[in-house]
Amino acid sequence: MRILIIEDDRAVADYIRNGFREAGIVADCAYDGKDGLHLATSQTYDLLIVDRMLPEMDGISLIKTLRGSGHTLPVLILSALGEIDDRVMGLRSGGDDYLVKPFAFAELLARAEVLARRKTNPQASQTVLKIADLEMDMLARKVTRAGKPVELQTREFRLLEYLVRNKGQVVTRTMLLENVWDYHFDPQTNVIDVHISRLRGKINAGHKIQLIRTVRGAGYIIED
Amino acid sequence: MALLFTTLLGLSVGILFYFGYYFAQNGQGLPNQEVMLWLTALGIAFMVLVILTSFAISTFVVGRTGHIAAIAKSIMDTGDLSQRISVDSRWDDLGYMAETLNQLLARIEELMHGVKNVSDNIAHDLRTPLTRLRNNLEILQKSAHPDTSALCESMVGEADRLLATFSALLRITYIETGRQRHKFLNTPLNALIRDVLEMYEPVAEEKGIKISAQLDNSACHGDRDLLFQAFVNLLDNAIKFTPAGGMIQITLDDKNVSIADSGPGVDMADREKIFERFYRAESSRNTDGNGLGLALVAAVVKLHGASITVADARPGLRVTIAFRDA
Repeated sequence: MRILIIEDDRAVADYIRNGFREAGIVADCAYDGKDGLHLATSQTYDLLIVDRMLPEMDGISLIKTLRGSGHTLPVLILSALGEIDDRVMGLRSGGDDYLVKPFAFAELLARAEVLARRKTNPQASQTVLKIADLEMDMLARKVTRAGKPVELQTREFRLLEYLVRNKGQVVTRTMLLENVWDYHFDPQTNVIDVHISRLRGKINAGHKIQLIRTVRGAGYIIED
Repeated sequence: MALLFTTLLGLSVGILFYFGYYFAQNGQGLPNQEVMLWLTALGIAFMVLVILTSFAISTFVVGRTGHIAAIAKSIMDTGDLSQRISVDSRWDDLGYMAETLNQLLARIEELMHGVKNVSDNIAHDLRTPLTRLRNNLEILQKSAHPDTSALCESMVGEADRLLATFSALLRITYIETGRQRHKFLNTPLNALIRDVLEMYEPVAEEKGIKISAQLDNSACHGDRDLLFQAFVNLLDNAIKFTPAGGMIQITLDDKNVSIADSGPGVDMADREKIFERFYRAESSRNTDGNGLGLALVAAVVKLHGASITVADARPGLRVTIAFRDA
């Protein structure tokens, strides 16, 4: 995986690049909009991380130009503003995800990995999702574990679906809130943890292998 | 009072004149009865004029002071310091008083604004260095000795809480600017509240708290994410303060959303203050939270032109948000 970071604050850019390096991901940096656009169009990347406020050319114009010339690579927008209005505007301009500064690197890493692999994710259009001995029938909306049916409520089903669709990748609590509950808000308590522990209780009951692992300081992961 | 006073005064002087006239008619040695008669009639006419004038003046004064009192009360009730007393006349003392009071209000508003601006600027400007500090701590944690690693982790957590407080503060300010009003949509309140319930019921259940809901079909004009956040904050509070085995009741009745818990409630004296930023009641100092949850609720309620009231649920606290027709 190769990532391009377009960010004018060098401290932030370096922090992100070092973080990715430690995770074994190659990352290049551009410090203004023009350089960024030039690099993005002349080289191949799996993901673009773009700050909204950039010298020479702002992030939104950069994404619009890129989309206008037919580039489909995933783009994650970074922003210091972060109200929902800005989020909507950022996503409308062609961004695929939006993250508000300041953020924890674990959050950025989780989102970057999910975005970069979205294109190559074979599970995207499947009607039956599988993980270990668990199967999700997306048409009948039924779940079985080792052939035995598991009763899930609608939200639990969506929660499991999001985890399974992104199997092998860490998903953060905020990602779950945004994608499973579809509300942008600050949950005050560890409400996601409670839902995850309920879901675990239902799918793991009577099984030796425990699915859905907690990744400390980051979120959750479901693995084969 | 003033009206009664002037009327009585007029009446008594009128009666006095009448007696004067009576004695003049029956008395002796008075030169000209016709002159006396005219004088008395003139006196009575003059008195009527005095009564009418004083009536007009007192009506005017009562009206003006009533207006000043109404504005003062409205400022106290809504906390909206941008209101001003209308000045219709500049020649009288009351007009002068209204002008002075307006200048006083302008000064208070300026000071309040200054205090808020300072805290927002601090929050805004400290976020960047704090983030850098947090990130460096995180890097340090990775290479740290197991003993110091736990310490690093708790420091990262502390920095995260500080950052979250700053974000919450800035968010309240952003909501108060009212810029989100242009994207208000018709929002069914029952579906929204059901989503909040679905999300928090497991949390309540873990604490052994039962939630009952009675919802009608009313809707309001608003921002679904902000309304969701407001209801989440209220329900989260209710769960936090309700003891294990308690009850929470949620009702939606004709655009009135009410959340009642069976916790310890809030003292009468504190009820006004719970919506202030960073305010925490003495009894809740030891619970989690940054003291901004209800301030955010108040900001969202105000943005929607709704009103929020706090009452005793016997036992517990009942918070009611009343939305108006769009």
